[in-house]
Amino acid sequence: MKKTISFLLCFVLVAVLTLPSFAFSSTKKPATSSKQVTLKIMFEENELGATNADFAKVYPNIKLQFMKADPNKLMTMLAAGNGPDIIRCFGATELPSFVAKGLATDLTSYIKKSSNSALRNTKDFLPVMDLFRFDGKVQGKGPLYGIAKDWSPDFTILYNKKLLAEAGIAAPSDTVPMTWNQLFDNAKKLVKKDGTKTTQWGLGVYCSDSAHTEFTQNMMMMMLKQKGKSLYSADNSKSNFNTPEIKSIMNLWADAVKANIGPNSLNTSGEWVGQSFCDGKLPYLLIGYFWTGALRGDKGASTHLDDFGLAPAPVFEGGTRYNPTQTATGAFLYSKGKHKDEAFKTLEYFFAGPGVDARAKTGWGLPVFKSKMGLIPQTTNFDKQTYKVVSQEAKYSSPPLAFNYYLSSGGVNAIINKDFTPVYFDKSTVDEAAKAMTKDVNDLIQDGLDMILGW
Amino acid sequence: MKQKSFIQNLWRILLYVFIIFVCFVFIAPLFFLVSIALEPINANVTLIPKVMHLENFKTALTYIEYFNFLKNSCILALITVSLTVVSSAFVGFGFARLKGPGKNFLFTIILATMMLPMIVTQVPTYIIYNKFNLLNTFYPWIFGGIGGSAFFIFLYRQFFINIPKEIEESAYIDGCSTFKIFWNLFIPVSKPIIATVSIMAFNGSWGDLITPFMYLHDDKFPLVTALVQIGYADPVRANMDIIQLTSCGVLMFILPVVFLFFTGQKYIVQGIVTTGIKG
Amino acid sequence: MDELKAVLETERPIIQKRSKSLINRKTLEFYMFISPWFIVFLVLGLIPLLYGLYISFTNFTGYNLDHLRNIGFHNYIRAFKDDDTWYSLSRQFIITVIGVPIGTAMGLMLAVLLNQKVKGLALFRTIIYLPSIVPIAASGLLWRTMFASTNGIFNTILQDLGLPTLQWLGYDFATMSLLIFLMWGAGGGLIIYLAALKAVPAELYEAAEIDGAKPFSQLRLITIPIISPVIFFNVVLGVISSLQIYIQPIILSTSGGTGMLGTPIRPNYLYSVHAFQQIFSFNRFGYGLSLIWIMFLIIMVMTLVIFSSSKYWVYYENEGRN
Repeated sequence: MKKTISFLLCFVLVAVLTLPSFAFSSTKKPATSSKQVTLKIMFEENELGATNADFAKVYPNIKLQFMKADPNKLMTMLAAGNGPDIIRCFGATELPSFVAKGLATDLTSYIKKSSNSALRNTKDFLPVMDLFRFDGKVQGKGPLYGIAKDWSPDFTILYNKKLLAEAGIAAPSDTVPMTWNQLFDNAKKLVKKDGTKTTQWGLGVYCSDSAHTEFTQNMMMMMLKQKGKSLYSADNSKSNFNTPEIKSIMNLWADAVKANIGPNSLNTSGEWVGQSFCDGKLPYLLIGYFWTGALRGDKGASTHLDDFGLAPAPVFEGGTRYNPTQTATGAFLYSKGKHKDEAFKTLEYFFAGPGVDARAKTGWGLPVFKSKMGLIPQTTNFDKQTYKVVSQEAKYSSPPLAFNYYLSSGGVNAIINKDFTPVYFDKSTVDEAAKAMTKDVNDLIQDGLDMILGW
Repeated sequence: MKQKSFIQNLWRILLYVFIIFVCFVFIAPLFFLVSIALEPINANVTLIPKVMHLENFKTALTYIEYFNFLKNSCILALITVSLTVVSSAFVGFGFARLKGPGKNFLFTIILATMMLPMIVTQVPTYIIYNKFNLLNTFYPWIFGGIGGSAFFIFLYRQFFINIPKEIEESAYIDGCSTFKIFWNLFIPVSKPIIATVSIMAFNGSWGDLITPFMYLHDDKFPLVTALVQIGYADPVRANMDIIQLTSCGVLMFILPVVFLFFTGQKYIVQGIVTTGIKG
Repeated sequence: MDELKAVLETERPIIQKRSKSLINRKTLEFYMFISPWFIVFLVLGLIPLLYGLYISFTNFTGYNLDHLRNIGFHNYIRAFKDDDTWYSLSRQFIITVIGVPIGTAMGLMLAVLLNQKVKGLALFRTIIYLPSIVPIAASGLLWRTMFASTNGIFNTILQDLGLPTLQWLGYDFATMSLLIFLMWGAGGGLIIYLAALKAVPAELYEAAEIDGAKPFSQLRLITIPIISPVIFFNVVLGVISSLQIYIQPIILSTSGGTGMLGTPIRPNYLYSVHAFQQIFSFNRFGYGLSLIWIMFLIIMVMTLVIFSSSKYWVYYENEGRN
């Protein structure tokens, strides 16, 4: 018994004595050469095109600590005034609310001092960069607060020629968009079943982080804009889901979900639509141009890229064409950062430097500079066809989706999930859901107003 | 007599069949994890992979700094287990066997701390660690370990409370100090519960994802945090993980726990609590 | 008799004095033994807790720590007016009322089963325990895939048997699926039970066997009473943790949202999910914390009820002598 006790004691002693040495090594400040700074950057290294090692060669005095973007950690760090120096955000949905909360840095003076010609030549910016401008009231106006990494007209549709031909459906035109009804009808015809089991879906959708062929916030805002309407009042202080336009969109989706044209809450699937498409098992995938990058990089799909094509975003009969970005991932500088000059240099390096070319060449989204558009892949037939369609669609990408900056996009999606999913299960109706969503979103706007005006 | 042994044998066979059936039910979902791990990179999930891609495991080890994260996991587990097991025993003994004003109130507080999720204290705790430069160090785990765990304090108390008073009383009469009674009488007969707490503390530390994520930087993450938060990012599809490699990583991550439990559970069996205890 | 009384009378002060110093020593020892926890709690636990309580009385959104406003009981009043609070609370209670008894019974049965003298015990125990150590992110992915309506393993089996398939994650079965997912981890309490079972004196079983007691009545009359403090522990812990379940329904939610932002299907919209959604999806940090503190009070009351009921069913060895 004594053995056990002495073993336990030794264990504790060893632990207590040796561990602080491990722990200490971390607090050791980098050698006190005065210029060495460490920056925290909330971005994943592998999405930047250039690596930390590349960066270190140019700026040996700046040490970067990458961390994954996570709202929970970000919030906690910001609360302690210890936020990352560079923060990842979606230009389309998040930037104005970060600016409104006083967390982002106006880049105007930094750009003026900068030697980087790409940033000073604002004429070379594609309209998507305007998503990073905010004057306190309107997104797209005012000073620049951040830089976008890439973007894509996100409602473009990838299709599989073979599967369409099998079902006797013509491949979509490169120039004339399908209507929503055509798309949904075709998708219905393309569904294949073996007994009760679905062996092939008609249409996959990847939108707002959801892989279900369902109604999401971004989809709703985009379709509403095609009808020339908006969800919010001009000053963003009220929402209204009770209009006939929104209800017709909601009915369209409720019917599409009940018809099971794609995986959804009624009929969940273990497979991910993005991969199903690469595997040649899905005829239509509404995902955006960026997924062509995945096709080129996929072992199976890359051998027969000619089977795939890109089609313009669907429209309503007689409606206008519109195909905006729903993300425009980019970054801004934390307003309370201690090393803003170095942070700006870092931002510049990855977002307007070597990283830009490397990213554009993969075709994972479009660059944000006009002069770099030529870098996206244009060699194979597939490259040429997709490039042709996407450069056309880019013309229909502005104005941006006007998100309400009193709201968080996660919040609106949570409300839609909560109030609208019951409609698919016939536990609620479109009218009831519209009422509930109006109330819930208005409550959320009120909270946002209180917060921002309360300062 | 013969007949009885036949029935007994039948019962034993049924017992085995039943145990094996139950085990199958519990382990079946994990077969599925194995089959995901063996699929080609980025394939959609199938039940039984056609070709076994065993090289996925090797890739999983080299794709991220697996061994660095493993080392971090070991350090954190070492700190937590060694400190928590001992200090919780002290505190549990205090609440089970000693008396003092405010004892019930303090015990209620211990229970109460179990009833609140970490989110309540997350922001202020981060602020405190930031003020005292404890972020990105392992000190929070040392302090946390010394403080013990409410769960284990409660568990120790439940065990100590049932050890007959006679031993203790006779020891007091012999002039033993309370510490000696605790160390020489209670600890030796509590081997099963110490083994239990050690195993559970190890698993708790090995599987704790969120605490390291909040207070450490990427290179100091333990394995579980690295697997979930850093993950095996796809070089082509930025921001998406390769779930086959993640599954390999997870399988290798649970191996130490399996080993520990497999070897550790026999200490629970060999428990000698019964010596000297009368019902 | 009177002589004895007189002796006692003169002796009493001395006895009292001695016992008083004994009490002082005991008190000191008590505080010494609990000091590791107590000191760390005072320094690192108490302040954040009080601060967390304070935040529930403010308009904290997660970003406005410099501009906090005390808004009194507004968040608490709001909780009572919020229909979702009541709905989600009822769902959380349903999970608890069904889950805790089944979980406790299953844990106990498994432990009794794996306390038999059979070969390969270590392996069997490890297998049962295994699910509780798989990280939730991985097990969530597993179960979501298995529950899938199309190509999910459950529906594939049902179809092969010629039975109608189910929407496992749909409106009508989602809660059942959640309970199955939770029960898969029931082996986590196994070792606590095993350790407890080892504490049951073998002599009792021998005596019972001689009296001709059947295994089942041995379990009922000997095993359960003797390990009742540990059953009690597991019930208390079960209730506490069951009322705090929030990540499992989110992970099972099929809307594909990542991390904390997924929304479970309505029947799995539990109270704790409701609270966490306020914080992570709606930036209502203060309101979310007030919901959590209300849940804290509910858990506290329920725990006290269980504790006060313990004298009717929990058998403490030293009771009455303490």
